[in-house]
Amino acid sequence: MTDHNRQFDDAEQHVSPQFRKDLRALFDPPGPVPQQVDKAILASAGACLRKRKHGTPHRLIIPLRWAAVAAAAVIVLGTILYHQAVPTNHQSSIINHQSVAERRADIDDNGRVDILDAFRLARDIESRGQADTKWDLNGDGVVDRKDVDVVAVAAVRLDKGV
Amino acid sequence: MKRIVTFSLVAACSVLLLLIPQVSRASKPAKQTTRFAPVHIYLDSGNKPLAAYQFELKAIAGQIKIVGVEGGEHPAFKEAPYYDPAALMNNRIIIAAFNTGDNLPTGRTRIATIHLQILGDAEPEYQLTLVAAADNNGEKISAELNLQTGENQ
Repeated sequence: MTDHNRQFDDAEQHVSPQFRKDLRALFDPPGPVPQQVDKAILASAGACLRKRKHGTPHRLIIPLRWAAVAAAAVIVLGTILYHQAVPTNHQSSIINHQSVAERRADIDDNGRVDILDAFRLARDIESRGQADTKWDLNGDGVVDRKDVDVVAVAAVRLDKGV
Repeated sequence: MKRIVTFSLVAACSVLLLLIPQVSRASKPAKQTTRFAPVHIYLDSGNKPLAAYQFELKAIAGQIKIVGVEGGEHPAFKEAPYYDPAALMNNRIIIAAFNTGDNLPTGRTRIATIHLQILGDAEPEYQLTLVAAADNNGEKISAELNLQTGENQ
């Protein structure tokens, strides 16, 4: 080591206060970071990281998932309701629509509706020409063979029993 | 998330396929023997004219499906009687008919024929119940009801 350099080895070498102050200003941090700036930077970084992780915006995935579940529920519900539909056979439709009239079809008032009620009504219509208007069971304003059919159909209904 | 969407769609399609009866029926092979046979119903009203009748037929053994109903031999009951269409392709039926005319049968007469589809080899057993029988005055009469199987009437 030369004499020229030895002068820097002296640890007790003193520097001027101004020089010391200038050096600190160069290398010290400029000051504390405000909290708002900190939060803004963190939020921005987080959003950027999430975007990179999922590849697509998060908002679009939720409707797709729920749409699939809703579609499945609609299909199941539609199938159940379809199987509960009323039969379309013409005579069955007559039986279903006239269930209220059937309760009035006990012509002989013996507590049950059977073919003898239809027979009695048919004989009344044929002998008198017209029967009591209370036997207008199908509500068409006329007591005729159609009302007799209502009684007969009620008599043979399976869900009524014997 | 894509897995959840895919799974939901697959589950929905599976449920739909299971609930469609045609698909499930098509997958079942038909192995039972099937034959068709008529059952003739006879009613004996004695010396009283028969003007109205009602009876119920039910299979209590064997597998049957009712495929058709025919009228009787006497002109008064030649037309097809009243019955519930829901009985077709089932094993129970209520049949009834009446005639307000003067030409009425007496004694034993065939009042109806029921055509059946019999599944399997076992011979079915039937329960036949007379619900009502009446003469031309509308008065109830006692009558004997029975059935006969086979093609001969």
